[in-house]
Amino acid sequence: MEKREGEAEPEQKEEEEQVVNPWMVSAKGGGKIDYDKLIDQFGCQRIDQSLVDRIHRLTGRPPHVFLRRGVFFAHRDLNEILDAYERGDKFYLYTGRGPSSEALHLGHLIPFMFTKYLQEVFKVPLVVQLTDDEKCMWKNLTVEESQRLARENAKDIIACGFDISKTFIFSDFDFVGGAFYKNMVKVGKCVTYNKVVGIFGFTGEDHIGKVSFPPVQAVPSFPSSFPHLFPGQDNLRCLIPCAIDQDPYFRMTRDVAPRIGYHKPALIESSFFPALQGETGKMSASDPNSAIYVTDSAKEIKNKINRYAFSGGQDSVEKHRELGANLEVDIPFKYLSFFLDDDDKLEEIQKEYGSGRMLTGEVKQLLVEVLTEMVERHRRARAAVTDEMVDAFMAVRPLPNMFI
Amino acid sequence: MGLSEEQLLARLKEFQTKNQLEHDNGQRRGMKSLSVRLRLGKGGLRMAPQEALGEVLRVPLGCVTPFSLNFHCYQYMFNKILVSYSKKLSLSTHDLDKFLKSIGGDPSYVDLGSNETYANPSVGKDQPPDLACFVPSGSTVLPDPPQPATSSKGHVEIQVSVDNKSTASTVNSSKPSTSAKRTKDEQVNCVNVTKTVTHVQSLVEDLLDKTSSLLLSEITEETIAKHEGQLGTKVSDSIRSRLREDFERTLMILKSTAYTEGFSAGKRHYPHRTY
Repeated sequence: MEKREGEAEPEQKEEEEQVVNPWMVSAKGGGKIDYDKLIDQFGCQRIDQSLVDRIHRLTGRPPHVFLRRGVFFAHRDLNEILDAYERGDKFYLYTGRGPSSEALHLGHLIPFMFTKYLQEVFKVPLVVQLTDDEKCMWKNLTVEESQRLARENAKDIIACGFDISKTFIFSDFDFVGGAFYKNMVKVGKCVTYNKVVGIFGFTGEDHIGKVSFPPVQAVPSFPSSFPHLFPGQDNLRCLIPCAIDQDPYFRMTRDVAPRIGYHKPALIESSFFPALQGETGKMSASDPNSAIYVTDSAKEIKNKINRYAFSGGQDSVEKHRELGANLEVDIPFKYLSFFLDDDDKLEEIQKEYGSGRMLTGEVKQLLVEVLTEMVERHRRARAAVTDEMVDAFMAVRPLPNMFI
Repeated sequence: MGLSEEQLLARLKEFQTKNQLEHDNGQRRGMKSLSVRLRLGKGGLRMAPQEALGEVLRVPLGCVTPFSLNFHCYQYMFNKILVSYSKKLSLSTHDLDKFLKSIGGDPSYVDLGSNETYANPSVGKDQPPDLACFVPSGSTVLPDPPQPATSSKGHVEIQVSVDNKSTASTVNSSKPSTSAKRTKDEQVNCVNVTKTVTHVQSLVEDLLDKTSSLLLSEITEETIAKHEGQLGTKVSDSIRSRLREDFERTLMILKSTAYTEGFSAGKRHYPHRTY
């Protein structure tokens, strides 16, 4: 049974408990995130094989690698979305990015790669929110800088391959107002100060800008926020692909939605992409060797994987042949499980590397090839994205073919 | 008690030199910042020599004194160019583009950002040079000139203001006055990529090249021996799985580019239309 929406998180009695919210992710005792515990704590559901098979059946397309490998592993009301879809009722997708830096790494691309797949297989429109206002407040950027980063990040998002005839990208600074703002006020009236403190952990030292931000991220879940896209379609459902740390925003949104006459948005949630130095490490903008960036050259990718990717292999070849690699902590294997589409090949690597017949160097070499191809493809696409194209994606315009 | 004529002249010269120095310093700082953002290092960009006026812009010395006016409500920019000392010419951005293209240039408009961003670019591991794609490929580095840069007299610098953004136009000419050495790992030139995407024949060639290359790599003595009669099916499956993503991404960019061109044309034709 789903945890009551919007309910305050249990207090952190011990410092060792894992913490997952939009601004902080830390595991218990500096270890790995316990996703089973997180699902239980948040009250969402696991995506099981039957759900993946159902998506395959409904769309007639092979499930995305992120679904097959359990990267997107949790959901809220995904079955209701699929039930409606089966009846012929459409839905729209909503995802977003907080543009805090210019350089995106592979982890940033994951929700967009998956959302692009969802748009394609379900043939539905997408709204992408760039929360430049949030980053202006949380990262203390100037308004101009956060707007500039929003446009730069929009180029990388566009390069992921979204269909311009079905996609609306907007930045909060440019778009908030009108019907969108009316919904923000409706949501704001339904959430007390105490509740928002309980959900997001605000303190007396936090400025009122932060406290008033959550409705901004909530209301793109409601079709009436986009009168140019969905006029008169207040019944249209919304599916939100996102990383699981965003769940608090949408628990709040789902609690409010029925009270203001809207469907609760559904969610499909992903786990966290590990840093190069391992699950216990942190991806950090100040440490370029903690992640693979979309601007990295082939040489840089090779260097980073060879030097910094944490290996689960043994200390010596002899010991490795005897014991095999620890795949639970091996980063090259984990990265391949994200990005190597061929299931048979991954299974073979799992067997051979896990048993010690395959060495770390071979696995890393394959990973370098896979990532280089991916990054090069992204960079080629990104190079073709012009400012005019960004303007077109961000223009407030109808999308007449959004469901075709 | 006043100053003598000699003292006045000395003070005036000192004032002019100081202002010129401040102007030059400001200009040098601006050039350094732009050079870093273009991934040319700190000294890869410099003011064009006088000769470039004739070679690149094909106008005589002394006739170009750009002065731009920015009207926020209009889509145009006006450049006052001295045709002669008795006449001036106003150019819209559209006409300026036409002129630059007629001399073999390929103008790009760049938003240099706020004054602070312009003066202090944040370029580093986390923030790669954001203007690098505008540097022509195949450029080579010239050594620093032995003498320091003097006045900007005779150099051409066109400041373009469109709407409320500050931009600088760069002429991508076959004889660039500034250049930078590109390493093997440099990013694909974005202008050439854009041209490839919009030029259908080039795009088709590119896709056929990829397919051919993959086909040839899949058909080897080893694979022929291994798969025999099933080789065709194997190669076909391999091509489909390995090229699908590439083709989809390329064709989606083509769709986006075509849509954008139509959208931009519509915006120009109906500038005040709202939905």
